Amino acid sequence: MKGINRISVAFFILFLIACGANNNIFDEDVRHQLWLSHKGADLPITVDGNTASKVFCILLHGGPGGSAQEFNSFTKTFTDEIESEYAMVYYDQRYAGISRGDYDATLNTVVQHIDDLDQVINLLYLRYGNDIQIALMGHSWGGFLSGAYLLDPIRASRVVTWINIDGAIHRTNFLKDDMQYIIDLADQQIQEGELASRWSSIKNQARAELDRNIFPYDFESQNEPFRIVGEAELLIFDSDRINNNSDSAFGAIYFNNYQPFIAAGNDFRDADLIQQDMFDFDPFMDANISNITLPTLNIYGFWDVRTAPLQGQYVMDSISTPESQKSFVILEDSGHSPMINEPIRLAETILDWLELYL
Amino acid sequence: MTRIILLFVVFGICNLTSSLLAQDESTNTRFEGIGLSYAGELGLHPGVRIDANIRLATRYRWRSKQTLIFRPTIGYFFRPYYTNNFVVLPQIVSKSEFLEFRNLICFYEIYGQMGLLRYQYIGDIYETKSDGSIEEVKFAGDNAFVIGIGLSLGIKSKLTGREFHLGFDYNKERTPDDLRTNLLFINLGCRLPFQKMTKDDERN
Repeated sequence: MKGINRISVAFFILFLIACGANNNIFDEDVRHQLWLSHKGADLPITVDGNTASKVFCILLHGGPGGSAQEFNSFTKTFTDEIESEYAMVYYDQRYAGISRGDYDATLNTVVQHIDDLDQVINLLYLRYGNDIQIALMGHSWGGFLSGAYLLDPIRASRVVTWINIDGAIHRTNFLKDDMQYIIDLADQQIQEGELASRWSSIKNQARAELDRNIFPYDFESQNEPFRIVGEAELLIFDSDRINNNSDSAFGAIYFNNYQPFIAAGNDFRDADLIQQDMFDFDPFMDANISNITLPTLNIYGFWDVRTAPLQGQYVMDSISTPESQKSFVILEDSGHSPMINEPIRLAETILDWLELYL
Repeated sequence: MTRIILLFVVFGICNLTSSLLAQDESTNTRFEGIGLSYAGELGLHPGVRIDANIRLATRYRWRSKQTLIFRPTIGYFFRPYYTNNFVVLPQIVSKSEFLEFRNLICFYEIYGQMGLLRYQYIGDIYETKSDGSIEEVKFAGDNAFVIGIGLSLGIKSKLTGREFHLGFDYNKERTPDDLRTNLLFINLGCRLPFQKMTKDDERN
């Protein structure tokens, strides 16, 4: 019986620890776990950080199919910096990460994801009041999704600023931009004599892909450029050009809400559908991107061959934001994941920007 | 592949069940005791299981004793900031005692289990209504079907009948949202006999 008593006491202590979290709505260091059920999907939303600032930074994950909770688990060096000043909002999109709910292929669309984001913003205003400010950040596909959301001026009016991190904004162009960027990068590396023969081989493959002159791409024809991108990333990794600073998986799984099996289960959802929808969205993006007038910060990694910095230039050239309110920053020692490669510098760049526009 | 392995194990256990039940030695069903164990999902997501042991059949082979047990099990496990999870997992267990020294008996168990998982989201839960409004709701979550296999090793005191065991089980979870995922548990616990051991128990 003694053993049973000890086990009971251990569980009681764990229960007390779980109950001891700071549940104040507005405070300098809080964590709120929210769920939003919308059109069959159950979306997990974690609000973490300084809610007393009344500034909420929504971070949209990449993929499609990634997880925003990963940012709060594996890249805390990056997000903790921002959480000390503002509240971060990590929301896993439908059919991605640790989200749950019913699966409906007809709702796996860009338009539905925009609607979901709209509901998440509605929820933040409902819960935290209309006097809060919302900054919209997105990484990779999240950069695209945040951009797509802001094409509607009414929706854009609910957001204070847009921070686009490595966003693949125009799906067909971004594949071509990647090939061109790999060629340019290869030329530079060959000149410096860095792994010249391998760079030369990649350059030839990228050139051949550009010469195929595919327009527009679709979810099948994108495979070849993605293969070349993968090879280029491996080459950059082998050249020791970028560092990885990721937090431990142990902490992510046992002290946070990252669920590896659930995330893996969601990975098997048919991503082809949403990727094809992104290609189909390109003409609409081209036609409406000039609607964006928000202060906009574009951040790209110099070594990012997955979404080349040329995509950031596309945003800079296309949006109608006054010159003084848009910025394009290249992180010299980053690839496609600056939150892992240069977490502190990325956080400081974002904090400096937010200080200007909040 | 996983499905094939699971089917193989389920058929194996069914086969074992029928072969044990076919033995003449002892088929008297008897409630043997209850168990309490730590059942950590992925090892360290804390959880607890309570079970009851109902012996279905016993046979003696050489110096070892094999028992077929039906073990209704209920459990709870916690995923931080994510879900509270409740399981009802009846198990069919094949238990073999393989080594005896001093007053201790070593045994291993192979078991199959099949049941229901109810998960409830942790946090403040909201849902959108058809008119576009958002409302807070008290509970949300769903049910899932779980099927799995497990293995445990343990020791049993001949004097008190108490057992201590350590094991793991692997389960496939099939949810209504068609999310096929895995559940891994590490179990550590004890089982207490319902009554003092009889002479017949001690003999074996």
